[in-house]
Amino acid sequence: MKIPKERPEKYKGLKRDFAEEEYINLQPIQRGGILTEEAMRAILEFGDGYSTCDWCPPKTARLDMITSPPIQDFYKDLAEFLGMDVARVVTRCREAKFIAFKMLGRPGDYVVLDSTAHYSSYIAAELAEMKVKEVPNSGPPEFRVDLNEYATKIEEVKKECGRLPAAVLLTHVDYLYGNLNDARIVSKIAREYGVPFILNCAYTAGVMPVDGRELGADIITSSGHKSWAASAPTGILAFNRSLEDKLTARSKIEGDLTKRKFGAKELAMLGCTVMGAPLITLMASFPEVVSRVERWGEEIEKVRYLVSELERIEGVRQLGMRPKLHTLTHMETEGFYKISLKHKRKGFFLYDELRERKIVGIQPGLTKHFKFNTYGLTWEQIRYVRDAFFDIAKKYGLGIS
Amino acid sequence: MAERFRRRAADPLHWGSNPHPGSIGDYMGIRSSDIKEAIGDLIKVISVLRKTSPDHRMSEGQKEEIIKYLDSARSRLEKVREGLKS
Repeated sequence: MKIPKERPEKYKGLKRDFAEEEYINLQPIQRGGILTEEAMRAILEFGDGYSTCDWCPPKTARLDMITSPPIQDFYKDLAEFLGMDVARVVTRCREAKFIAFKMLGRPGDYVVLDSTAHYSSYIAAELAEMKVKEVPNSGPPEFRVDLNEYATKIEEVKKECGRLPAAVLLTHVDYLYGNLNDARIVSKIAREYGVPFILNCAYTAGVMPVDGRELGADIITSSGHKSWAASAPTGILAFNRSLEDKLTARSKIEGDLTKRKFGAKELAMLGCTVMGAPLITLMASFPEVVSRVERWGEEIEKVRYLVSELERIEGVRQLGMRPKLHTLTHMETEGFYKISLKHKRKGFFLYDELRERKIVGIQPGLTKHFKFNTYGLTWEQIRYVRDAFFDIAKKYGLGIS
Repeated sequence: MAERFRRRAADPLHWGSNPHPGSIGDYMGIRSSDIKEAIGDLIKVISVLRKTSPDHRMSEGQKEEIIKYLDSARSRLEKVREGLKS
């Protein structure tokens, strides 16, 4: 099938509308994934297809066996950094969750999870043919997950099916309100019942200190493109030695005709996982990631400052737990919403005004509530964002205390 | 002899170090590493721009930093240019 010659031309010279060099991007899912200089340089070296696999050992042809570039060492360092025993880089955080569910349970089993979990946690369970039991949250304005309710939900599962859930999952920081959950409460409950505890660190590991051992996690899942300054798609699956046999079980299949076997391949990883640009950027950014988590305290100072400043605007308040313990923030902005009702651009006015001031990442059309993330912004950029909001508020007659 | 050079050029262990004029990365005196280092310098410039976006109000230190990287990139690219003439 031939397509018209001119049609593919549009794929040449691809350019992003909102280059990080030109705009301040507050998109909640993008701040932790911005590449480091080392990562950008590494793409030049290893952006080509299978270029990370030049030295794949023929006898144990597997990604985690490659020593140049030092993938094997990286896997070990990654595990140690997270306070876990073993780590694998997978395609996305959701695949990491799916692998954990699939290898720990069986169809019909339950996963107990928090009611602020990301949709991909639910879908991962669905694909693994499992059911979910949700732990409630307090609702507005805090949306605090009642962590002690995990025990109640485990009991409910036990009563309903006569066996324990296959796993318990807690979203360390949720994608809606940026609430930081105390993993130790849930890990203690999971341990008492002997149920594996999965901590979803998509928004935490890579930007803030996370020590799986200290938090009592059996499995940590995370997202390279969300929080580790890596290109997409990259996910992290890290686990304790006690689960290694289950999670890295080898392939047993045999060709009926050829009798071919693939015993070196890890079944749940489908053999090798992520290579090329995503893996190499994750590796190249690792030294900076190791150091930047130590600066988390300053990131919190910045977000608290911005929240307190924005709350000076009439009809603006932060949702979720206070004080902020994470840079992902959800604001309720009744004042801007009232303006949108009369504005000819309706809800898009705020987006337009911000974009005019070279700020993007607030979802177009939203004025009643919106989310942002300040991770990695400099103090000057934080003040620039504050001034832009003040400027817009003044323009439309909203009071600033 | 030709066969030995071909094998050497195909061996990644010798990439970038093979004196044979036809080997990878050393054609007519051009070293691809110079080009990549120059791009690396420009990436550092981009990095400063990312920290100062969107208005790029820079401290004197940041301006000096950018000039240093631009000079470095220019001198590396000059080497590439000279290599073409050799």
